[in-house]
Amino acid sequence: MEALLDGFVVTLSLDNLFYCFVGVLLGTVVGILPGLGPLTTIAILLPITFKMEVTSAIIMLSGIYYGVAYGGTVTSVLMRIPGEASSVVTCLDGYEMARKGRAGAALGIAGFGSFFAGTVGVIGITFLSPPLAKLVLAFGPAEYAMLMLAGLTMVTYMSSGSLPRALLMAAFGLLLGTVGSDPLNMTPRLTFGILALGDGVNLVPLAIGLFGLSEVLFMARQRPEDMKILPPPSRLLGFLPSREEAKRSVGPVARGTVMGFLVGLLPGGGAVLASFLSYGMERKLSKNPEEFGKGAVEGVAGPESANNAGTAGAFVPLLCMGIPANAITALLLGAFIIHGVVPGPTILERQPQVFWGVVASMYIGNVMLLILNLPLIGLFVRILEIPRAYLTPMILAVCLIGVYSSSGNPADVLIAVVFGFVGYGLRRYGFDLGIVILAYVLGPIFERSVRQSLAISDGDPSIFLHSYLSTGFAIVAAALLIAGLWPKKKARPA
Amino acid sequence: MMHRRTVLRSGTALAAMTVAAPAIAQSSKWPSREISLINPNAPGASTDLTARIIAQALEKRLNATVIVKNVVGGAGALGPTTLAQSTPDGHTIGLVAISSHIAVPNMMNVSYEPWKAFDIIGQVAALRYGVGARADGPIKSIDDLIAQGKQKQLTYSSNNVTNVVAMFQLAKLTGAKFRWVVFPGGVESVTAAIGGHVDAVIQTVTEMRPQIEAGKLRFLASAAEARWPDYPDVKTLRELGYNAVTNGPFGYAFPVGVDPAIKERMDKALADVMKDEAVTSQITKLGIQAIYRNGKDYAALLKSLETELVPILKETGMAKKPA
Repeated sequence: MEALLDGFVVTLSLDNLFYCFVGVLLGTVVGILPGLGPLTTIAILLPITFKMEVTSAIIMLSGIYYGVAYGGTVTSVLMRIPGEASSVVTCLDGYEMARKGRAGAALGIAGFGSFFAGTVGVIGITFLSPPLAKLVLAFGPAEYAMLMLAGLTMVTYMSSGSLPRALLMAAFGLLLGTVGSDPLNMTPRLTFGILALGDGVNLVPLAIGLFGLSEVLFMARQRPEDMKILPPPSRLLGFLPSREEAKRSVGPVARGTVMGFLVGLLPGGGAVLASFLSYGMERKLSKNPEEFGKGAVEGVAGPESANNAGTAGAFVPLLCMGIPANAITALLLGAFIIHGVVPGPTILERQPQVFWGVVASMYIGNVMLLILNLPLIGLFVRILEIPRAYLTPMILAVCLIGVYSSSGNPADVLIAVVFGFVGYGLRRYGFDLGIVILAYVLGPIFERSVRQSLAISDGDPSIFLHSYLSTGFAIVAAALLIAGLWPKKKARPA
Repeated sequence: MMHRRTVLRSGTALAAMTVAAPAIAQSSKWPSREISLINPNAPGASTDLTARIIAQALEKRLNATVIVKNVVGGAGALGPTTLAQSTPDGHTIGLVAISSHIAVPNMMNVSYEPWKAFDIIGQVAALRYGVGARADGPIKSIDDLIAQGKQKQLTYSSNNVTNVVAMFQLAKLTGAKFRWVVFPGGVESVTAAIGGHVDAVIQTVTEMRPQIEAGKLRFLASAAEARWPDYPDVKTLRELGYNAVTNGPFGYAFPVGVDPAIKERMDKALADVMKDEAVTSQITKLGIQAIYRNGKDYAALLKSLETELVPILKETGMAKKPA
């Protein structure tokens, strides 16, 4: 505790407060801009920090990372373009809320949920780091395989339509996930000799195509009277959710926070996975599952909390074990090392001021983000007042620029356009795009970990039940599957 | 088939010559705009961090902006392909390594000919590899690893075919059975080893050091040509009596056909950068060895590594099937 107070002393210096602010501000901006992600931003800024004091440098770079999960929501809700990979799932219900005039409420709930999850996440880092870090090591390929299997069974709950349609979309998502290089021996698969597909279909062009561009196509075909988006309340506090919405959000925020934090700990986990799993979970637990995809506030509150908690969770293995959970924390690890700090169990003995300084800065940074983001909501929702004739081409431009800037690869723009049409066609016939993305995200991790497991066990499938953890996940997966396939009872009379 | 190849080749040479002609006029004005450095790896990778250090140092010497462009994709093929296809006017350089010259061309169909498409400027660094096992596990030395590998098949983790050369050689030399389990990243590999999911790991210093420092990973041997300076007591595999080495050199090249005057100035600038103590110490801090070789020597080194790697690619099923 005393150490944390020392950390606050470090952070509260004028310099560090400034760098913390710069970090979270940049994070918010990067989050809002589709395509430009934290990875690129941090990499570009890294050389600039070479001359900075080590704690300041890490405080700023970390601020960018956790600030992103705040900003990513904005375009998802207002334009159905995911600002960040971790906000893809927010497009589903956030945008529908906006269409009903609840854009401010969606952003407000996302903001509060983010703040709650971010802060609880930091408290988690403060008190639970050492024991939780051990959990990370227990996760081998077999445990992953079973966790992903449990995640994939959620597909059966995510659909509002019939089961065969859901499975069809899941198969499509899995198929998309297999494009690229074979995860073990790198043989190109389903690339049709196209070099740009060698690493598979990237998430950014896929998500922007399926969600953003398909929406532009929809708008183009709508009759003017159908295009009305209810104007958001223009009162000063118009972003405040209604009492009913707030009440319905409490559970999803709390669950999203806990689940997001735990998923964030896992290597390869982090904010993206956390948001998808939270969405699936909320849909399953909701009393009104039929509202999902049509503007359910739970579908925003859960994932938007989960992605922030996931971001915080990823700091635990990074700081305590020197194990980055994803590409961004791997880059932060590089930044630590360049500055002569070796994260890991020894960091608390050797450089406590760095560890606690960064942790303390995250408490302050989250407060800054809340103060920074809430007033901006009023400004952002006014985007919706722009006449459709101007807004639609703007969305189109933002989508295409976003895709291009994510990789600098023109082929990705083409891929996004193709998936724009695919998404349009699928939505037209009532297929659920959320399932496609979920299967696409989880499928490749499932395949890789299954094959790694079998390589380790020399083909013996009993490896999937070799530990309590993997057996536990396997049981969860089986239970979810049986419950999901069980013929649904007729709706009870209300 | 042979005939078509030759035609293609001479076509490329002709194209290079026509592009090179106006380049000569440009040499006095070079660099006339920013220079792009193409890196086929993601931001934050060892090669990326090194590239950013080198780019900064080159800027001062060339009086031009040098920007690192991460051309990631195509399982590593997009970067070298883009480099090979860019205009040889001296304003594009890119990373060349085992991946661009040996691994990628042998694993998939690429549009460039690795040994003809580039004018190599020089090597700047080499990744240092080592073999490790979890600290509280049954393997306490390389001898343990070999002895147990003779009794039953052991598994080890690594993320890249470049890394595993030493383990393949070790298996061949001793008759022990080691199975490579591919992980998507270096750190994931190390984590799998300390979690006990695989028996051993072969990765770079950068990825292993945090866990060695923490006492979770036992550093069994250096798989490089020399010992790691931070761990002078740990012997190399060669010193332990096994002629097994993993090399991880990387450097930079122009696309072929750059004006020799420009090439010479770039060669000098890079050589000068690599004499700069500030640059080499920053690279060393990353756990990477700062080594300079000129273009000719570096090309020769890469060529010599090809004979080691190609059989491994075949054995693991990674080599592309003959068309």
